[in-house]
Amino acid sequence: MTAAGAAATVAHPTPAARAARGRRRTGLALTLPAVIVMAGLTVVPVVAVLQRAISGDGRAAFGRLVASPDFVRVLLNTAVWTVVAVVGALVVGHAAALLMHSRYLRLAGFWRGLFMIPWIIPNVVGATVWKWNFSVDYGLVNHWLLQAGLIAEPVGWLSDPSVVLIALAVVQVWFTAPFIMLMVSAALTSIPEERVEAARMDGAGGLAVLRYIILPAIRTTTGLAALLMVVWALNSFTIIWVATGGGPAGASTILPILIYQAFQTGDAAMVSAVALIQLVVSMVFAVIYVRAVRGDMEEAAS
Amino acid sequence: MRIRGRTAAFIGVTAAMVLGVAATIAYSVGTGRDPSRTVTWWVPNWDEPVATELVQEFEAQNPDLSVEMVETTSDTMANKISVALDSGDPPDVITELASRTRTYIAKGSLADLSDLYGPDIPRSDFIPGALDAVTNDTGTYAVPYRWDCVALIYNKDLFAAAGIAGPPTTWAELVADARKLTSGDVTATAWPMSGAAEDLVRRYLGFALSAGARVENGVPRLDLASSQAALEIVGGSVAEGWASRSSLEVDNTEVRELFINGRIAMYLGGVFDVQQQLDAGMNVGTALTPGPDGPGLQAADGWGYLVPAEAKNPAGARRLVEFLARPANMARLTITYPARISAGGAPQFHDQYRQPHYEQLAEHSVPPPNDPAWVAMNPFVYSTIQAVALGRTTPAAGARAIQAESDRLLGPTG
Amino acid sequence: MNRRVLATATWLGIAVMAIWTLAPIAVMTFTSLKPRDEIFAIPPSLLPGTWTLDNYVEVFTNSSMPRAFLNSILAALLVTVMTILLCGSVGYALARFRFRSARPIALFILLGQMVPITVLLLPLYEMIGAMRLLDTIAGIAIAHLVITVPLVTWMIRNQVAAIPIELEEAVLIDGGTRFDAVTYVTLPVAAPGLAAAGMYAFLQSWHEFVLASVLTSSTTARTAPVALTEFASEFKVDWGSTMAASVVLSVPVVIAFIALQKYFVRGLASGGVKG
Repeated sequence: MTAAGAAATVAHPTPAARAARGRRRTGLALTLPAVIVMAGLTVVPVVAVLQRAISGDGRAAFGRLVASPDFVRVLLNTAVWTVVAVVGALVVGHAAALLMHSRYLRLAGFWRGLFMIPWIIPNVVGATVWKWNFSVDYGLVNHWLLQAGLIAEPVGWLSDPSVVLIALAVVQVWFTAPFIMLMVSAALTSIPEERVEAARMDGAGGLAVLRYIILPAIRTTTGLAALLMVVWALNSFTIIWVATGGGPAGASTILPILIYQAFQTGDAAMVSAVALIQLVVSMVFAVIYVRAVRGDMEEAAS
Repeated sequence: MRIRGRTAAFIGVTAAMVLGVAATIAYSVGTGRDPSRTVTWWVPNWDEPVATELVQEFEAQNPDLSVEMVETTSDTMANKISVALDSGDPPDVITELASRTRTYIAKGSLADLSDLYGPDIPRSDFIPGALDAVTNDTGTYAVPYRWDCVALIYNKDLFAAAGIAGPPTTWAELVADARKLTSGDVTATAWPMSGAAEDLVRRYLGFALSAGARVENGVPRLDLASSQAALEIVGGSVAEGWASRSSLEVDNTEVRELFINGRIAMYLGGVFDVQQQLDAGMNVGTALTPGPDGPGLQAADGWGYLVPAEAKNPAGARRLVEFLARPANMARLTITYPARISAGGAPQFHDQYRQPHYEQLAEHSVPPPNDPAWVAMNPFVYSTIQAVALGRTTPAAGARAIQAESDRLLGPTG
Repeated sequence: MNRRVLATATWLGIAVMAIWTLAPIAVMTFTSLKPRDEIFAIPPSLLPGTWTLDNYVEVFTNSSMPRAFLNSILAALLVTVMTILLCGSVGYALARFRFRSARPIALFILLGQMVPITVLLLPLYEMIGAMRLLDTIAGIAIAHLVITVPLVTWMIRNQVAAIPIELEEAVLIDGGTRFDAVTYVTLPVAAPGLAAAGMYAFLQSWHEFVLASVLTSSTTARTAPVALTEFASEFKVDWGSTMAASVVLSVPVVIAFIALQKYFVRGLASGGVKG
């Protein structure tokens, strides 16, 4: 790239340099449509939000937001929700992918397709079903746990402030873990069989192979999957909105719920203020993401 | 440069796809309509069957206009209407909840319909409060066509089993009856604490209004005593145990289902619920909501026709609204009570189950507070009621928190 | 013996996974077969007491679901085609051409998925409105590009980058054009990956709710997830029909996915997310 760049500055370009410049132009031209579409769909809206957020109304809304005693709790909730949902999805997704890869399993493709269902069905529906499952009166979870004698009285999965966020994160895990399973499945197929065999020959047990061969080999995938899950968790509101609306008493209110509440009450300034905070949080992860991706890009380019 | 077969196919397919996409988009753009002859009406899907008949009659009487109906659904309409009004490309007529209109009025999104009221549509013919909800100092921005509020619905069998003769008429009776009714699997009542914020807030507000709070120009004027009294009933009842703990995870529909399952003995519900329970063979009764010492107040709400300020065909929109506002048409397009008194004479609105709801509406209701600042405060009140129900805060502390928020957002009580 | 333990453990794991993923699906399916008055029965039961197909009859004869189903397919196909065209172009360029702005462009597109949808809602509505595409399938499809383009660009770029450039150069040396190189070398190798990318785009559009609900107003363009809300009216929610419609909505996608998941995995494996 630097060589081509240097060549381009020469007054009388050589044919090779001209060809290089032609290729650069073709490359740019090919990127143009997607860049224009994404710029139209994201930059314009984000600028609009920023504009409103730094206007007088926006600053006032920002003040209201930060001064509110619930603000810190919302941030904490968001953190808890994100951590539980991401860790849960990673664990379940990896476990499922390793199962799919087991040599004792038959019809792996069928099972994989079956386990993908949660990711395929509409969020609204899944969230409603889970809401019922967790209900004190109508819910099968409590009913079965009671029958099995594991609990003495119904647990208010969605009405007890101390468990509601965890219960909801479980639902998010249910929705997103299948995609991790898929990503990890793909990564597992690219580990050379000989490497695992060699380790086995050396007498390594299953756990040792997992720990020293398999997990390191897929760590890039794990990293990307984790970031993707963070993004999804930070943007997700359907599940919480359908199941609890952010309650009880704000116990499951996270940033996207706050935006949606402001949206519903027609408080445009507040929407922008919360959106700004969410953008800042997202940017932190964007930086991490960019780092990770850059490493991957260089690896791919070499 | 010769082109190989497969390459030609690739280029061809790509070009075809690009052209196909471009053509689809271009075609979609071209499907616009002639605004001067069309009136677009956004109508909720539950009104749709009757609305279709009405539109056919309207089109027969107005051959120069054609009405394009677009169905909205309960879950998505608020969002969609607010976005459409903000964007400057709204439909011509919208059926919308009266309690949401003041937010649109404040933004200047609605056309003033004052000129529609006159000999054909006299203001005095509307149920008291219905027009106040959609009127401010500068004009009246909607024509309400349906008006209703909740009243008490109770299970006569469970009341008899607990040895209670009739429905409670005062708060003291309410609490005493509730304690008697609560035993075993049965709890006296439940509140919709997990549905839309406004459903729960309206229950609280009903009790606060009964205890002396007022509504001025769409703004509730709360005071500590009434607010605390309301919180003791709506939130405190859960903490005390005579309202079901499930309250925290049910919405209006599920409260009704708890009632049908015999888990709760009474609740505040709309007249529409009663029909479903009668259909299910229940022995139910209805009554006015109790107040501190006599009938209590409820915030009524209803549906009206709006014409956006930026409607493409305002003249056609007005003609449609005028047609829909005729008493006979109002009576047809309602599943509770029509907003015009002259439309509500029919016996179907006044049988033994419906009469208490009608009395509550006509004599013991106030227009819904719908000032944008109050609407914006709803999530806070909602959350405070839940906190009281969980026992995390006392009704007194909750009332103070709501009062502080109210003083800040709505201005100090005058 | 060790072998038998491992095999048992594997199948045990599968059983746990199957219960965990499929129990809610079972609730959905059996609820769709219950009569209305059983849905909120206390105590709850998984299986219907009386089996009925009424909810399915309702969905197919008395709702706009069939139309919405068609709309969803059309919108998702349009999204898929547009996404593949846009991302194929940019993905190929990013993998094969060296130019100074390549990295900023790649990052710019990727960052698109960091912007919360709620932030985009109103501006997108205004934009689609200005293009006179409100309440059209094309309008929804254009908006959905914002959720598909970032990741698909990335997937395709990595697919192409994983194919040795020497293979393309060989075609060029043989006197072929770059188009020839793409069609004879790159496309066949990248085909599973493209299929996976297309499927990803299709599914993202298929279950998107917020944008679709705001951008459509009538049944002419309403997509299936939005049409599900039709079963909820002011005073009651017809959960039986909602669940029946959800089952109808899921079955074809699940079957298609089980049939095609091989390509999906292969597509992701050949570089989509490099291990």
